[in-house]
Amino acid sequence: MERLVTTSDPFGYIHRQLRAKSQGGLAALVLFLTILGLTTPSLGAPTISASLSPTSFPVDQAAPLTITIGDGKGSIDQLPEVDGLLFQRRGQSRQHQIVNGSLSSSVSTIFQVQATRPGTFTIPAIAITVEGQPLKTKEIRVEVTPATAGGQPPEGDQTFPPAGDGSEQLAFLRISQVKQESYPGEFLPLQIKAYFRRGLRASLNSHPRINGDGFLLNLPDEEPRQTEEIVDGTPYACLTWKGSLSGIKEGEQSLRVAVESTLLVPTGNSRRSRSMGGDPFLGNDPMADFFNQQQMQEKKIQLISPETTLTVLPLPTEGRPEDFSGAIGRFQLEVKAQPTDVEPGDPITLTMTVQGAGNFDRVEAPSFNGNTNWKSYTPTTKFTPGAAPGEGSKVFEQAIIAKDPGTTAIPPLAFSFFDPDKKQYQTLRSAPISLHISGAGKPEMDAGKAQNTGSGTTANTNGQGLSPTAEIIGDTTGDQPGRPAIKGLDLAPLHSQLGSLHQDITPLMRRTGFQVIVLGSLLLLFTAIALKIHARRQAGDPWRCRHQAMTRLLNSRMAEIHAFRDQGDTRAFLALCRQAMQEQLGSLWQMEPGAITLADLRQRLAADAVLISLFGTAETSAYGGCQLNSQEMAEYAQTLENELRRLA
Amino acid sequence: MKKWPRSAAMTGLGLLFLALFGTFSKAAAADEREPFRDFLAAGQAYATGQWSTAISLYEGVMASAGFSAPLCYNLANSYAQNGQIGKAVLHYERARLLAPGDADIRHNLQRLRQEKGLEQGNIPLMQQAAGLLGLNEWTLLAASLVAALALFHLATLRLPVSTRLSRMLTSGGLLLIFLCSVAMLIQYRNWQRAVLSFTDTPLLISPFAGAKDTGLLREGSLLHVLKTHDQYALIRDDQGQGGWIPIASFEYIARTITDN
Repeated sequence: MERLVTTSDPFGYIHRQLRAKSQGGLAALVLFLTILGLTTPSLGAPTISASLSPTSFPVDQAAPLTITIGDGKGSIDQLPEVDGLLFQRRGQSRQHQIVNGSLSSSVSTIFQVQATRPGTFTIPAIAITVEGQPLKTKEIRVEVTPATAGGQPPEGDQTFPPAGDGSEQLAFLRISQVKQESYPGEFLPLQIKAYFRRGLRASLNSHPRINGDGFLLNLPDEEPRQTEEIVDGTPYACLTWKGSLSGIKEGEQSLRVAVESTLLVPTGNSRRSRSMGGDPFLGNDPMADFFNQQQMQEKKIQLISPETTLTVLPLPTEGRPEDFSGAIGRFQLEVKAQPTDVEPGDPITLTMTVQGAGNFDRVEAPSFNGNTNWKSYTPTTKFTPGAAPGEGSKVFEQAIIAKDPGTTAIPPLAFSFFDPDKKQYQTLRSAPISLHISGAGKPEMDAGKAQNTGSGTTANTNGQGLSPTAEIIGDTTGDQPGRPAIKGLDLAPLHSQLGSLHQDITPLMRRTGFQVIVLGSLLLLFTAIALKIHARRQAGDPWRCRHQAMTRLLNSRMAEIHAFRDQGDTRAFLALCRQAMQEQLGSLWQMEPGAITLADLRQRLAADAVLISLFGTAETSAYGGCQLNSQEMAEYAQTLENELRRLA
Repeated sequence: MKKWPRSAAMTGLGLLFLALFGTFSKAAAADEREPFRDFLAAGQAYATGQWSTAISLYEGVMASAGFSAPLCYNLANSYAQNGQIGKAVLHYERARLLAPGDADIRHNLQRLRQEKGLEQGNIPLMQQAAGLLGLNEWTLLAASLVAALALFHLATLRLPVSTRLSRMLTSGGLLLIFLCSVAMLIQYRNWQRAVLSFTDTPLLISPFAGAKDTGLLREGSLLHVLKTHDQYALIRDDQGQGGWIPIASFEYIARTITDN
């Protein structure tokens, strides 16, 4: 808060204030310079040192190696190559110290040292150039002990074959153990694991594939699961695919799986630049990329699993059921029907569920065709995968209609497959499902065999290969000698109605009756078109139009004239005759009808023209009166009509 | 002489008519039942796997009563089960001509062709479009369009219809008639086809018994007969393969009952 000063010498006060301020600033400047002078670094000879702490560690752990450069600027050009040791740069730090008034600084670079195997190692002297002077650190002796209990490889890894030689230590591929023997099309679960040394930066260029043409590899269309695993004491990032394998060629087949990958490896020997942890496949350390981009290079590699052999055996032909569709595995069959109480002709939905483990792509619906008592439709299919690869259930829904109202049960359905464990074919049969059709006759099937639950449970047969088709269609031998009957043809059933019979198979267009109808239609069409054309032409002709108008008018007038004639009204009769003549002649001569007189007729018509005398008679009647008897009127009218029509 | 009342005479005539009608009806019904009985018997024979019996029964029905789509279809099924592919294809094709929309016929013919490697390959789009309806359906459609067009033009003689509407309807109708006619032509060509109905037959380069063969025509193949010479016919199949084969080795799909 500013103090209010009252004085008689204001200028003297200001001078004092300014002097006091300048004296304080000078003191601060002197103090600063003093401190600066005291703390000027006493730059001595540069030093370097390297330390590892601890110098003894288990193989599944790491120890930091710190290289310190004191009093100078230098760069670590190369780290020595030590067999069995890996160096990973972790960062850099700078320290400043004031000791007895002298300031010193140092830069420490930290590396993480990991070992690939237990043993004693020596990190040789590390050469560093500081301020132009070549300096070396001291050698460091490292003792790597075996892995601790917690770092042992997981139990599951024991099932994988070894990785191979030392060159595969950075990355390698393994596949799970598969059976030694299989059958064509058999579903073999397969697990593929790609290992990349932790910290290594890699990217995948392809999905795993089989080397060779003896197998089909089926992998789900999803990203592999990424985990970390320790193999032989070394931590690895592991990508796992779970899929299936099936042999397609019989015989002993070599099995190897390959994956294309790109590794980011250092160009030099010393700077094994790796990202500081993180995802080795996504490279989510942009700063590391930035600092290391000059030292890294891409290297494309192919990871190939150790070779294993698998014998693909042919499926036995003996005992093969006729309805065998290629399904291999272990399955169960369940058949349900809904509804089981129906009216004749009502559809029944048959739900057939095949569940278990195996190659479901070859599992087909138990055949209902071939049974002539039923009309069946193409089933719908829905597959639901199970928890484990190859497991699941396939549900078929099929609409069926009993043709015979006397049907009392849905016959057993069969599904055949090959059991690779038992090495024989199996046929599952559902129990017959009892059925009630309103108005049904006596049951044709053994009621004791039928169940009243609407569902049929499975019964596993002895694998004799007897198919339901064989049971339904019976013995087929003896027909058509020399020609084998086609077994297993999935034909739609026979038609039960004879249908309308024809004496020939000729197309409709060649039948006379139809041809007549078509010709009639065509004739009608052409006639209609011709009439339209004609009408259109007529509509465009003025003379014809006038003629038609005259004719229509004459017809109208003549009807009226005949009416007056019948009434015996001579005056009105002749007046109308005169009007009719005027109208017709007016139209013909392009004159006003009322203006036409006898003089006009005499002038324009021939002297002996009948119309002149007719017009004269009418005009006389109009002005002087004239009486005609009915016969005279009839003759007059007839003559008039003839003349006027001729005129028109 | 006693004169019968008029009503009694009428009653007598009625009774006589009914008796005659009943007699003819019974005879006709008996005639109709005979093929149907054989038809059912053939179905029973088929169900028990006696396909030769089924074939002879169905053939008998066909010879006496004529063709029907179910009859041809059942006969084709019997031939197929008996391993006579050519005959099976022939009768499936006949059934298809009579009932082009029947799913069972299409399904069985397709399965048989798949089973025996007689697939027809890629069918051109035009033929696929023409195959949406049978020849008779296309014919009926075209005839109906002609009749409708004729009626329309007759109506316009009396009813006032704008020239634009008339032209539009006429153009549309004529276009549809044209398209139907194209489809009819394509389908009619199919009616003219034949089927190699017995065994695989060599294609000869000339119509003589000792002529060299250029290939083998498979039983059940569809043929177009181009011309005949003596006992041989020059044919071409759907794949464009051509040559001479004996006339006795194939049968036309569309034939009259007396041709068989």
